[in-house]
Amino acid sequence: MFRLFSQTPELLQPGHFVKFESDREEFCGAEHVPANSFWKVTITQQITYTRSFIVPPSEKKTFPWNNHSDYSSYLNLYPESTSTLYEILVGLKGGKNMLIYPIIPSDHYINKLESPHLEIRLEDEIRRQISPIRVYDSPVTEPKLMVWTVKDMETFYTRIYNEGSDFEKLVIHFIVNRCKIEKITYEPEKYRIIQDYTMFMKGR
Amino acid sequence: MNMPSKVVVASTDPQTVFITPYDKIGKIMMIEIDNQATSAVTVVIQDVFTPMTTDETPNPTEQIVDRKVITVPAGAEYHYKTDGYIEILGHCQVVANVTATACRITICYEFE
Repeated sequence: MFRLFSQTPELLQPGHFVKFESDREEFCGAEHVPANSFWKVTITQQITYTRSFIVPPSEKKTFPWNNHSDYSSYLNLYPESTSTLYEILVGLKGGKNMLIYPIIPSDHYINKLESPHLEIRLEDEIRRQISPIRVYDSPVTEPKLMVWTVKDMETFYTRIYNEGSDFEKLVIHFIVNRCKIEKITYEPEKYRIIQDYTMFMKGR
Repeated sequence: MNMPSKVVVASTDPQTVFITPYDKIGKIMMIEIDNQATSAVTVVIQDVFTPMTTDETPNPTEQIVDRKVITVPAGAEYHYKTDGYIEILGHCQVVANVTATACRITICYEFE
């Protein structure tokens, strides 16, 4: 459901295929998306959306990606239709000392090492260095962070933490590739794999 | 290189120079102060903004952060090319220790 690429990935186009890979019955808790099902992209539309956050030093904010009337606190980046996939390219600007962590469920870091001695702890200057995404990992001019969302998926969160000594402003620029998709019954020759977050957690 | 600029006079009332757009970060590129007043003037460049709600601060208040303080003697000129290392997150304003219409402050800036 999210991935940090080594270079800016291409967006899905009409005629492309995706596979929702999961070790559960359904992809990220979305009942209409069976695990390991294949889908064809039929139409795409690109929408840009920018959010910015001014964070005091040594403070953090966790914000959900799902839809809610409180649009200042919720990113509202989940589709409302079961035939829509949001493929979201995330570019970052400013906030040189900001650490950005993907979280799901609400207080569980996805990216971590297998050592039980290196659990992520923001209050620990060493253990907060495990897995954060920084501005230079996915700059707005060359974004490399991709997030995929579908309707009714479990809520995905992003936690940002300012480890600097002054207020910092982090600007997040989203390019939302809104894809209409339809389920197919055959395995196409080429497809993009979108993995359930639980697959990242194997070996915990 | 062309860039926006604004001239304000030294005043004990804060003078707004620019307002950084929501999705941008303001960068001060150059400061010039021409102090033709009869006494020295101290100028403070301030950044005014309200941070977001965080886990630690659920009710944030407006912050006024001094980004640069410059004292220019009477009859002197001051030129300072910052190349953008002074960042402004919110509103940029200038305030002085005295009101002096003979002291003019020019600020060149960009948004990134």
